[in-house]
Amino acid sequence: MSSESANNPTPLVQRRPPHSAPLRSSPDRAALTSLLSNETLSRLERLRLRPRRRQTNRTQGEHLSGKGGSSIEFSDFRDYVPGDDVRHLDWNIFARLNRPYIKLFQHEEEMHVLVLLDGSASMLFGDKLAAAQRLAAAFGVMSLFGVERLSIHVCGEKEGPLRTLPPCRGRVNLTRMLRFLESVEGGGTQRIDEAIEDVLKTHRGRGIAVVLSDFLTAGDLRRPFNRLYSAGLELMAIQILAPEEIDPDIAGDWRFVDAETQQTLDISSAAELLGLYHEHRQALERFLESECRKRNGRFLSIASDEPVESVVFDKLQRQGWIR
Amino acid sequence: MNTPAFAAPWYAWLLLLLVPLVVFYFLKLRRTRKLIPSLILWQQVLNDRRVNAPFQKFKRNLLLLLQILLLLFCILAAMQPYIEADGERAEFIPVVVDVSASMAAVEQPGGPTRLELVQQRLRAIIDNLLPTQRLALIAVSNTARRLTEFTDNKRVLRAAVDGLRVDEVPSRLEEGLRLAQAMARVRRVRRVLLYSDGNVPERIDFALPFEVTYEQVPPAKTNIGITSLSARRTSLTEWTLFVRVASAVGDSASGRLQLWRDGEKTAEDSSVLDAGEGERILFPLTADAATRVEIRLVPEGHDALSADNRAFLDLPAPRPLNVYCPPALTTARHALAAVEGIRLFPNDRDTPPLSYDLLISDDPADGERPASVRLFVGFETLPPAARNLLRIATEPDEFVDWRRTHPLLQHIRFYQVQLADSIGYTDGKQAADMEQAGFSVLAEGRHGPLILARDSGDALTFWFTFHTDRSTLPYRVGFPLLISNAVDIALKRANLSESVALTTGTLPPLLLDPDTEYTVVGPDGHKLTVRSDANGTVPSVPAPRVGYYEYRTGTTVAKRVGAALLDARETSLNVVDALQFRETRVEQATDNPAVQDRNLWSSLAAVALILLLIEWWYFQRPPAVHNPAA
Repeated sequence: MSSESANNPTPLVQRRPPHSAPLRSSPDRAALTSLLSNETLSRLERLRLRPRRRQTNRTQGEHLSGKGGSSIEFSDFRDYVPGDDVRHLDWNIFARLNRPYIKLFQHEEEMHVLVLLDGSASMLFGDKLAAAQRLAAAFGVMSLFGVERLSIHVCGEKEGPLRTLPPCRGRVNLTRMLRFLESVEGGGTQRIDEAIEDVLKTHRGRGIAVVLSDFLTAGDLRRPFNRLYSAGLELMAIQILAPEEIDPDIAGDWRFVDAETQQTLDISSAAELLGLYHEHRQALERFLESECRKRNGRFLSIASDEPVESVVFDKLQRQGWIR
Repeated sequence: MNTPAFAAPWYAWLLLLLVPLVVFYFLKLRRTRKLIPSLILWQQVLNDRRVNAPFQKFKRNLLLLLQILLLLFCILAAMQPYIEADGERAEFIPVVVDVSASMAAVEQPGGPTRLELVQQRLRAIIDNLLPTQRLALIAVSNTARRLTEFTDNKRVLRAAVDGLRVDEVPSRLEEGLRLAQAMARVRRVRRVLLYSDGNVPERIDFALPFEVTYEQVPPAKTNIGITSLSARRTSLTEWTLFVRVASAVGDSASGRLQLWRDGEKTAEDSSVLDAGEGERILFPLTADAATRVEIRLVPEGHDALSADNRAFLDLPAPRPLNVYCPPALTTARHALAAVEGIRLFPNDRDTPPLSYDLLISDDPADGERPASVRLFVGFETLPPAARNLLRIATEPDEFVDWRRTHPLLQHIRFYQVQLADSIGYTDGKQAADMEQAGFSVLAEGRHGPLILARDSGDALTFWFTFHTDRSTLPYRVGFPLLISNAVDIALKRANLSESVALTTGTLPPLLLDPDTEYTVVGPDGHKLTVRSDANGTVPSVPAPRVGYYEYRTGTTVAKRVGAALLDARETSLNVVDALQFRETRVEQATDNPAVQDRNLWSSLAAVALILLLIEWWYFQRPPAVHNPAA
């Protein structure tokens, strides 16, 4: 074994810094962020997340709760029953019909959008982290412009186990959110399943949990997925894989080194194993999709070199993730 | 060709080394490190049961395959595989090598002799000897010698092969086979290897108890040599030399014959012969004293054998024949008086010699007189061994049958010879008993033998069981012929009438000083000690080389005898394609019978070495770094 190669392991593809991600900004306007172009931002402003179930917080927001409420939007009338707040009596109808009716209004509550970004070392390969950053920014923009409560957690950062953007709402936090995502470096070793558990220890609020990861973890994802479901969070899982992971071009004998754990694995006749590799990768996708569907969630697997516009405005919109 | 077998199959246990080889290979495989995002998927791939199938691991692992092949070839070489020429393996194999004179023949000047070709093959056999095989080397010419016991010691066998020398004598293969048969009594011998040039008798008087693999080396073709040399006295000092030269059956030859007398060339003649042809050449010679004559043949062109180009003869000094006949036997003395060149005893002029050349007597007391040829008449002169078988009959007798070809009875007719004495066999005895007692019956009467003969080596004795004076034989014309024949026999025994060159093989018994130890020194310096008996008879000694053999007592040369001629068959280089034994016929081996079992370990070791070099090159070459971005 060559000592040189042991000390300087050669990655499949050198990580491209997030700041060097391709921008689709207009040349005549200064870009607001390096993650998304201004045109993309402007298109995202008009999109809203579309959860399958109405899971909202009790705090007032823009999502209709369906429970009735006290907003200015009229919903219906019903008979008065003893105990009702007499302040909600429609005195005009009572005057005309001499019978008491309670006036009902639509109740609008806010939805908590939890974005969990996997920044572990495995995400540094093949621009996976950059793709995850762009997608997280897109979800953040849609949440903030939708007056949702947004919190972003980055796991696997070098400095610590978890890095968090506290819950915020409103477009005023747009710049803050973008700067937070731009500052993500990744390279840590925290696993995604552990990170979900850690996040849920402090998270409060129902809504949507967007998990951006390659899901290449040794842990069992069913338990954190159950915890998300129990916490009232609808799971939106997006698996981001590098093209080299989707279709590796490799042959011969190799000693693979895990980027996170530094564990090694000797592979002989790798070309002979590619068929099995594809089977296992597709089996992993099917497993994740199945587990998400079981919890009323959704799953999508994308390649890291796929443009964010293609993912958001094509796949996500067509599959009904957003509207 | 049979399937390979293994001489050391227990080395198959080394195949267990394959397990650590494979284990260490995968533990220490020289791999290129590659950083990947996660081992999860690859770990699952390896955990897949199909991947763990052993053959999957070996696919495209050329280095491992080379190592396995290298180990397999090394183990196979250690197991010592061999290919048997037949189904059975010969464990104890006598190897009979013909070392007769024709094995010294060369195909071309400076080329290898037939024996050297055999030696080359034998060395190859010894090199390929299997651990379970034992060879015994037997050299056979006119006698057989066991050079080694059954052994697998290659050094001993090679030394024995290197020590093989040609004996200039004819071959008698049955002697070697009999020796092999004797060795087969203590060892289980299934097959005997026989190496010869095929210059052997057409029929070998031997019943084969085992299989013989006969390998014939290619015989030489061109040869010319002297096959016989003799001299006949024409008068007291005149001799005629008869020289016969012959060529080999394979090709014509020519040469010049030179007569050398006492170291000087005195005559020369030439001879041109077709293939297989012979010619007799005469040289007249005058000698009034003992003379040493040598014939040298100078071949013109290639000559395969050089040992048959020389022959020599010792001509005795002329002297009268000393004959003793008692005066009472007047009929015989009268007949002897008419013969020229004899000195008849007793007489008043000459001193009696110590030994007579011919003795004719009817006195039993003369049996003690030393003589080369003795002729006794009368029943009383018979030795007890013969007399015990005979009796005196009363009826008259006559000759019924006699051996007309015997030198004593040549040109004689015994018809109507009347005998006063009548001799018959005692009861129950017959001619076979007489033969068993050591007597040859030369003439038979009605009731018993009339003439007996016995050759004891130093003396030839004839007995007439009847007394000639009491018969009509002295009055017949055959009587002087009978005496003349006896004189001729005596002349020949004394080498006074003719002298014949001796062939190699065995020297005849000699009459020298009694009870004396002689050292016989051969032409190659080989020494042999013999002792004469009370009569002075020195037994026969082997003469395997052409040349003079000296009988020495201390530093004194008592006698010098030359063995000059090879057997005519050796000179002819006539070969037989198959050996005809008493009951079977053995063809020459068509393929290399050698020990028949061909060792393969050396070939396997060579393949293993090549594999080792390939593996070394494969291991040292720069590893192919996979660049997925390319």
